[in-house]
Amino acid sequence: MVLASTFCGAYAAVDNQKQSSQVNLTIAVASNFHYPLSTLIKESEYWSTQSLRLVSASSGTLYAQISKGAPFDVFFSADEKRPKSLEALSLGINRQTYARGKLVIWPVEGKSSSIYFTDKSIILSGKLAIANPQLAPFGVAALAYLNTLENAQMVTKSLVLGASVTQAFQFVDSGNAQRGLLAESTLIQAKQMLKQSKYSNYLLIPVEDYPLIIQQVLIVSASENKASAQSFIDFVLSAPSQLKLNTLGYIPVVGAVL
Amino acid sequence: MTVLADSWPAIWLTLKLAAMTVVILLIISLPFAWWLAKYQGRFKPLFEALIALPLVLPPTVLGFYLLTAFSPNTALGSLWINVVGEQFVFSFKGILFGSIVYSLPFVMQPLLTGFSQLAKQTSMTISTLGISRLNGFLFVILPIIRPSIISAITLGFAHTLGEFGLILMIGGNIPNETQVVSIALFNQVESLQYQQAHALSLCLLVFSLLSLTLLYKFNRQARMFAVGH
Repeated sequence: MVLASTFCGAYAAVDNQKQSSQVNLTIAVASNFHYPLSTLIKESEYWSTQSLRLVSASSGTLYAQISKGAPFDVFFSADEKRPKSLEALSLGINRQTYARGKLVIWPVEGKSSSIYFTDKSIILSGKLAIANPQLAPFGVAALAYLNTLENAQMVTKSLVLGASVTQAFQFVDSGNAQRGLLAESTLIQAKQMLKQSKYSNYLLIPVEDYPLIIQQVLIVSASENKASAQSFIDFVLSAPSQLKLNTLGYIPVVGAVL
Repeated sequence: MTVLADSWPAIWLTLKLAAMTVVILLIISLPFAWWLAKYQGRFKPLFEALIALPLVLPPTVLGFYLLTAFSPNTALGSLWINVVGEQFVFSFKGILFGSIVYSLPFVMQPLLTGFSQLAKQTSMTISTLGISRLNGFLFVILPIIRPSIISAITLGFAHTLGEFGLILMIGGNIPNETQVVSIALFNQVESLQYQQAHALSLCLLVFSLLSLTLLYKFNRQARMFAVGH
C-alpha cells in the first residue's frame, strides 16, 4: 500500500491526466497472499500507479467482515470454501481460481528445493507443525498427506497446529517444532526477506499425495468498482503474473498461462 | 446446550489454567507485595514498573519473547526441558508460566494497595502483640486485607480466562493441553461455526459478568467488615 502510494506520487507529477482517471480499489487479501500480491502490483507498470488499498487478515476474518458489509471490492481468499460460501449468499460474483498452493516439508538437511520428498515415513524426535486444518487449506492438505504415511499414527501424535500456515512456519523457524508441512510460498518469502540459505532446505511433497490447495478470488457484490475490480483480477490471471506467481511458490492456473 | 458439547474440554482446561495461575500467583505475590509495600529503597519504582509491565505490553510481545527464549535450541529452553521434563512451547506448563506472567499485575496490584494502606501502623501494632512476625502476617495482616485478596483472586482468575494473544502464540492449539476457550472460540469463528461461537461467547460473557458482580457485592461487605473492625 505504501509502495503503491509512493508510486502514485511520482507519477502524478509527470502525468496529471492519468491521475484523474485513477483506479480506486480496496482489496481484501488473505495474509499469506499479501506478499505475492504486493510484489505483482509493485512490478506492474500500470497497477503500481493506481490507488490500491490492500487489507490483509486471515481468510476467515475477511469473510466475516465481507458478510457484515465491509467496503471491499475484491477478495483474494486462501481457499475456495469461503468464496463459494459468499457466492451462495449472493455477496460475491465472478468467483475464479487465481493460484494453487504447493505443500513442502521443511527443513530437510542438505537437500534443496525442487526435489520431491518420497519417503514413506517422517522421522521425528520433536514436533511437526502444520496449519490448523479447521482454518487453512494447507492444514487440510498436510493432514491428508500424513495419512498416506506408513507411520501416520505416530506422526499425528507429534502435531502442533498453527493458526495459519505462516504461524506453523514460525513454530519451526523459532526451533520449537522440529519440522513442518508448509507452503512453498512462505519459504520463498522468508528466503527473500531474511536472506538465509536455510530456507532453501525443503522438499516438495508429490502433488498426487494431497488434495488440491485451491485459492480463489471474487468480486464483492456491494462493490461500486466492479469493472476495475475485474480488470485487476484479469491482471493477476494474466500470463506474466501467473509466471511470476510460479517463481513465488504457486502452481499457475491452467489456462491462464497456456 | 449440545452446541457446547465440543467445547467442554476447552472450558475445563481454561478453568484449570485460571485456578492454577491464581493459586501460584497468590503464593508468589502475598510475601512479595508485603515486602514491596514496606520497601522504600531507590528501586521501588522499577519493581512497580516491572509489575505493571504486562498490563501495557501487548500479549504478542510476551508471546514472541517466550517463543524465542524457550526454544529447545536455547540454554533457557533446554534448562526448562531438564527441569520440567517437557518442551516449554506447546505444553500446559508453558501456557501456565505465560499466564502467571501475564496475570501478575491483576493479582499484585490489589494486594500492593491493600498492604500499602496499612503497612506502617499495623507492623508497629504487631510488634506490641508479642507474636512472631510470621504469625502476625498470617493472623493479623491477611484477615485485614481480605477484600484485597478477594479482588486479587477474582481479577487474576477472570483475566486468565480472557487470555488470548499469548496462548495463540505459544500454545500450538492442542486439545486438552493448550486449546483454551478463547482459542477454541477463535477457531470456531474462523471456521465459520458461528452457532458454536455464539454459545461459547455467551457462556464467557455470563460467567465473567457473574464473577465480577459477585466480587463487587461480596467485597463491599468484606470492606465494611474490615472497617467495622
